[in-house]
Amino acid sequence: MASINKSFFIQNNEQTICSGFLFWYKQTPASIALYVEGKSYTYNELYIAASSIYTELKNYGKAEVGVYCSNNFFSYASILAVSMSGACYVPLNAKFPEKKIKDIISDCNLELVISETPLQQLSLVQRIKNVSPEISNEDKEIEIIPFVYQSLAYILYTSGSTGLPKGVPVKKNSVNSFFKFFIEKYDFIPADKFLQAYELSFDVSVFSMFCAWNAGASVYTVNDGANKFLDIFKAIQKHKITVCSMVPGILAVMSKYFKDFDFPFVRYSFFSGDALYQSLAKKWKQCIPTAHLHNFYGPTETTIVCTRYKWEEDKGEKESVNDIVPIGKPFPGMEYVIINEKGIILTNGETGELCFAGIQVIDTYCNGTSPESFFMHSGKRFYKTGDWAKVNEQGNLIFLGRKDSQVKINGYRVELAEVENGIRIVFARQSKVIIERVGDWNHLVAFVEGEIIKREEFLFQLKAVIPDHMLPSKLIFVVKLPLTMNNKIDVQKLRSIINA
Amino acid sequence: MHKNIQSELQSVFRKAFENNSIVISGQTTANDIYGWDSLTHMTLINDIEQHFKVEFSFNEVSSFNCVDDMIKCIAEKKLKR
Repeated sequence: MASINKSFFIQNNEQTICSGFLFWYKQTPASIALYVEGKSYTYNELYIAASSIYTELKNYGKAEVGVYCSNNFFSYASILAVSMSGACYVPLNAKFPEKKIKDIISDCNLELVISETPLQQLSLVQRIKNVSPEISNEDKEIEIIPFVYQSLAYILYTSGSTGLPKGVPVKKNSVNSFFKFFIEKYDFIPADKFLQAYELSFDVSVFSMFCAWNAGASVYTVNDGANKFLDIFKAIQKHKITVCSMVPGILAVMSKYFKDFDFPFVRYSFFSGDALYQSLAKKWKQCIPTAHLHNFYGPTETTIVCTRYKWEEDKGEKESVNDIVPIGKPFPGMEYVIINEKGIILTNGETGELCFAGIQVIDTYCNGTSPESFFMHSGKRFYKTGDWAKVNEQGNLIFLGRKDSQVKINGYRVELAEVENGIRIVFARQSKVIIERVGDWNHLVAFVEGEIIKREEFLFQLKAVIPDHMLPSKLIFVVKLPLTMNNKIDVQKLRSIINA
Repeated sequence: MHKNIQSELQSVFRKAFENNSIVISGQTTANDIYGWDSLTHMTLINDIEQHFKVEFSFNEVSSFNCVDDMIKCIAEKKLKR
């Protein structure tokens, strides 16, 4: 059986991120490459569709191409086609508000957007060419040669603190270095089935698509809609998914059904995007008895993920802090430092801001915004993640929350994760604690899932596990914590509830 | 029995979606109610379980395609009590 090795990537990582797909298209054209909207497409079918869009793109020769995307065949074929052309893709999620789409187009000076059908909202945007290429069914092989020079693989937009989306341009050699890690460390095979339940505007989708295609494996997507959380687990069962990547938030929502799940065919269960809780990981492991459970970490600015922790129940029990599973060690080619508020590098397991340097770190944001997020140290350029972390005795990084999740209240330092863990221990409930600033004072507001508990009773019980200065001054009970489009806890929405 | 369940369900829906003008029928689906997304769906299921004091299995919840499916499942559970 053919396989992609490291030298293949060294030879092919200059101009595109889809070398793996093209390799397997030639090896096993009849294998399933993609399952989307209830239909399977072979490598050959996906190639034909992508190459017809690629041919259309040749007429424009643009180095950045917007892809108006939702979970459909056209979007996947378009992303592949843009990669084949050598250009970088900019996902314009159909769920984004119109203003966000226009802000993105303007921020990265997009001149070409491809969409399945012409977009009304772009008709008034000057200089934009909106094309809707016909997908061909004709089985003909054309030579795929990148025709534009572009060092970037994609540009993703995150929510900027100013309210305007912030463009994160990620280079092809960063993405290919990320791919290499998975090729070297994992035994993915063509028979593998990867779950792809992420939005295409969320960078972990790059893992689910391209790491599957690098192995000649199949990508199984899940329909959007009200039943999506349920459909993810139905898909795992129905398709016998072997590589299952998701954000921990989905597990938290679905944990009440774990007793109904038995997925012995899952080989790998990957988490990233938010804190993974040891208590939840233990319960989930019962559903995937033979799988390896790995916890990853990485901001978009460090190319999808850049650290890994190979979870085992006993090890996780010893190493978890505030019930949060460690995020492990950095990938090859990446290094980190932990700095204090003055920018001084900390050692000996002290807590500070986690910063990364290396091949997976972006050079800059689009338009050079936020230069303060980067600094030089020992001749290397580091990116400040805005996350608090420390290193434990085993050399594993421990994620301790966002930088603004540590505050001083009445002179005491409080870690919000510690309060959330206290609530989990006493009430076995999921919660999110956030800081409310009233004048010069900081107060803790706890959003707790489940039925209302009388305030006095709640605080009395919580006092058994956390000190008085950590007790929340406000309690808000919710049925479920709100999640963002990427299924992370939606802190902005929680803030708006406080301010309402 | 089904009519009573539907009427009680309507009040659960109104509370869950914070919209007192919601009127449901047996054929109502997620496409008919603004804001009925994947997380709200799970919230709604929790609310229904609490209101009717029932517990759904994963297979039951997965088979809910419209309000009628919910009503039938609740009625069956009530009968078994």
